[in-house]
Amino acid sequence: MRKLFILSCIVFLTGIIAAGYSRFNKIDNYLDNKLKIICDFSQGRPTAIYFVTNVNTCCRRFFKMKEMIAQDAKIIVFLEPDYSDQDINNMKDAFNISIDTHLQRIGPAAKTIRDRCMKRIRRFDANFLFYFSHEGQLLEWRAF
Amino acid sequence: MKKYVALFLVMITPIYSAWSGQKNKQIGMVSSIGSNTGNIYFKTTPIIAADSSRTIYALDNRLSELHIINLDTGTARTIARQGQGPGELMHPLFMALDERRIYVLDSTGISMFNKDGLFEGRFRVFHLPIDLAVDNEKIYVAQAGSPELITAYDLKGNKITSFGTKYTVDYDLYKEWSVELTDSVINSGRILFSQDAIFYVSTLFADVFIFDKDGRFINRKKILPVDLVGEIENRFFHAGLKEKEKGGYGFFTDFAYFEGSFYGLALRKIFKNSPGDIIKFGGKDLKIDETYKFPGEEALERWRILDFCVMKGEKGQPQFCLSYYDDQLAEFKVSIFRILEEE
Repeated sequence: MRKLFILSCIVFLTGIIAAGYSRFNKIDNYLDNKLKIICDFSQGRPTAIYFVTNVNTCCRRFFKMKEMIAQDAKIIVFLEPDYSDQDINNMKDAFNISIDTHLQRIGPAAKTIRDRCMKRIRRFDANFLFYFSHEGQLLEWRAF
Repeated sequence: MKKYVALFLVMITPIYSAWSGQKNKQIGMVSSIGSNTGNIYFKTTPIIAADSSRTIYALDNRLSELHIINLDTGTARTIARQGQGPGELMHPLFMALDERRIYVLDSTGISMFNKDGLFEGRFRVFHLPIDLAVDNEKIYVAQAGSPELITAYDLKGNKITSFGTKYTVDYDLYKEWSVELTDSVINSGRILFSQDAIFYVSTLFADVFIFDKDGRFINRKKILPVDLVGEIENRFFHAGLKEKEKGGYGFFTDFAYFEGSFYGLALRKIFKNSPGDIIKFGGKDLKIDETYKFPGEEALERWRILDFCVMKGEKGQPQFCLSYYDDQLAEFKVSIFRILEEE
């Protein structure tokens, strides 16, 4: 009887730890918390946050960029640190990126988020899109 | 009677020669570079270019390495490696040379190396590339998805100008393809330079678009008769090409400019009615000067040719450099050919 009680306690505790870890480790929650701050600057508009390692018009397209522009989303693009000003200009030219779109080289804080996402999908060269509603809810995130 | 027939044939031969204006010459293989040559190993058919020092540059798309081979000294070395950092390449697609540098367009952008193999810089381009060329420290990229065909950049990636009208096609014929892909296929071609002009040669339809060095359009010429390319035009502009359909070939596999003349690789194994495997056109009038044929139809049948360039031979004659996959030997190779004699 005593053994059974101890066993059930272990099972119960393991369950709690697993649930807690799962909650803590759930990437959506992590992203929600980390990126919501950026969305607060969107002033009631939906927000699209891109992490770009490499895009082109051939095989690695700017996923849903046209759709995001059509939805009047506030678009923020984090680029690799070695993107020069000219690269950014060429990118704007190629994808018809509006003046409203905010392009910047990735900093340490955003890089931490991106690295965590890359670790999650086990790819080192992925691009990411995080799409938030106008209320700041994470609606979609995906690698491309 | 036989005498009269023979006499008639003798008389008509020069008339025919003058009418056709072509001399058929044989070309023979001089040497080959491949998996058994030195330490060079190609994992795919390389993209090739050659310069005036008889050095061949062979770019391996799968290994993302650039092999530099000097034909006179026999020395070979390899630069670059796979990656996205400075000096690294990721699936390179095009290469161009000038006197000082090697320019490579890969999935990241355009990387520049000096002739010693040292990385000099890189800038990114984002359109689907069709061709890359360099003239007078200006980098010209033919690209799909942009309003103009050719964009010129300086060495830092600043856009200098863009020019050239693209072929327009009914995109409904290419529903399975993206607009950019259709654009790139229809406008396949090569950017070439003479002393005072820029040429865009459509390898599909054998059209040459001539621009001045500022990109102003001067003229357009069709360099082959309609009976040779009319069927191709009909296929691409009116019938449409399906994704996995065979026969999506342009008349020319590749095109080059060398010392005042144009050279088009137009394989007879693809187009039976091609006057030769390589056709030489005059630099001014763009008329056929000479045609060259590879020896042995058998060998040609088993080669899958990717790239072609022209370089100076030992006696100043042009030599042809070809990269291909040999089906029988299961090897990726680069071979050099010289002109032998008239047929």
